[in-house]
Amino acid sequence: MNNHTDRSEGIDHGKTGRPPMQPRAKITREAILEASAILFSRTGYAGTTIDDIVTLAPVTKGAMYFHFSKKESIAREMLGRWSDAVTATVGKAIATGQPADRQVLMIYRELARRTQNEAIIRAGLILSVDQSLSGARATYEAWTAAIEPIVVDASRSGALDCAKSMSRLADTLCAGFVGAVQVAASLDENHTMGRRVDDLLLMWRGTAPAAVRMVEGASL
Amino acid sequence: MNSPNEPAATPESTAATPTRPRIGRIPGSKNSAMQDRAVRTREAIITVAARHFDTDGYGHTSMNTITHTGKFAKGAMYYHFPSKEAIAEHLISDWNHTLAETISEASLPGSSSTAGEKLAAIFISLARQVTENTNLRAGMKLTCEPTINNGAAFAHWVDAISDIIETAITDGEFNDTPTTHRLAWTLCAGTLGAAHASASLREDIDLATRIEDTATAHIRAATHLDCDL
Repeated sequence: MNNHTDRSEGIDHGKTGRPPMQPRAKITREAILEASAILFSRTGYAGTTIDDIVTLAPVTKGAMYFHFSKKESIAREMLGRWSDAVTATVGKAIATGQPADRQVLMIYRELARRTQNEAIIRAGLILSVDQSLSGARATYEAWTAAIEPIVVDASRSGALDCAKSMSRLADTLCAGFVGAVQVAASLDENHTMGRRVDDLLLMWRGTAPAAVRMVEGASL
Repeated sequence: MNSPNEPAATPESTAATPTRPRIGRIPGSKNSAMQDRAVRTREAIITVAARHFDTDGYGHTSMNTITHTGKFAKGAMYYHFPSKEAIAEHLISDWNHTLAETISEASLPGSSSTAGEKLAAIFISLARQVTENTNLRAGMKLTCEPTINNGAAFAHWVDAISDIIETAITDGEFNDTPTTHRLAWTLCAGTLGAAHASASLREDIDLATRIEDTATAHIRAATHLDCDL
């Protein structure tokens, strides 16, 4: 799961300015984020109010405002979680030292797995294409920018045959990924996300048995 | 919330049919002079709403936001559309209509020989249309808006594309793999993702190019599988 120990500087302390109490406060904070993620996927970010979140999450309104002074703070935290997931996954993939095209497969499959299993990360990804949110655009751009060098590497090494649209492949894959997640989330089919992303990768690598084995074998 | 003078012929009741919805008065009404202006008002409401849905998102747009452009009166807006959802449903039905048209155009005999070409033609044409037409782009995005009853519009889209793909699999043009059977979903979701993402990405590449990239790469993969072996 996530390691959230080192985010004290990013925590929104509300008006009190005190650092949150550690273990219990963390549980409360996660409960708020989990409830918000469920509501955002059900009624949309704009259609969710702080009151809805307090009703669903087992927390008091006071605790809620202690952790998050406004709804935007929750969204910002979710975007941060998604960015962290991307950074961690890309870092892990590079650390494996595998060929670049295999790293790309690993990154997308790992992100798909986490998006499928972790509601907060999923909410963060969906919020990153919400144009009304400040910081969303930067989050999305950071994602494509982190993957682009690896995709370009993979194309240079000759593993990929799409020289024409090579520079756009990272964008195309990210757009396909976010589309798959959004549609699956809106149809309440979260459990299919991993398979959908595999389909996306197979379409790009070809569905020959060797490629299927390669895609399915690429995991972190 | 129906207009008091015309409950049976409110624009929404006809919106589901493939023909263009009739505006306002019943045929043969002596007040037919109102028609043109009513059509203009209605189009203005739809255009403004679509622009807001597209850029701010459906959830962030309210009926008040839509009237604040000052192009029409609040009363006029509520005469044509009782709710924000009614406008969304109209945009979705326009999208469904365009989709059906695009598919039947590509299916005309002689326009494209293989299923791959046909699919490419459909998605390239859709890409061009949603890039140029904000109403259509908003309608396409609304097919996956969880908060409204969109009549399973996304599933409808996937089914329409799936018909072509299943035929191609039967004819042996596409390989018979589970991934190919799910290609329709992947293509439609990819198109939708590109529409959502293009707003957040570099402006030097337009949406049409992005959708083309997605569609052509997938279709090529489905057709040229054997050479990878």
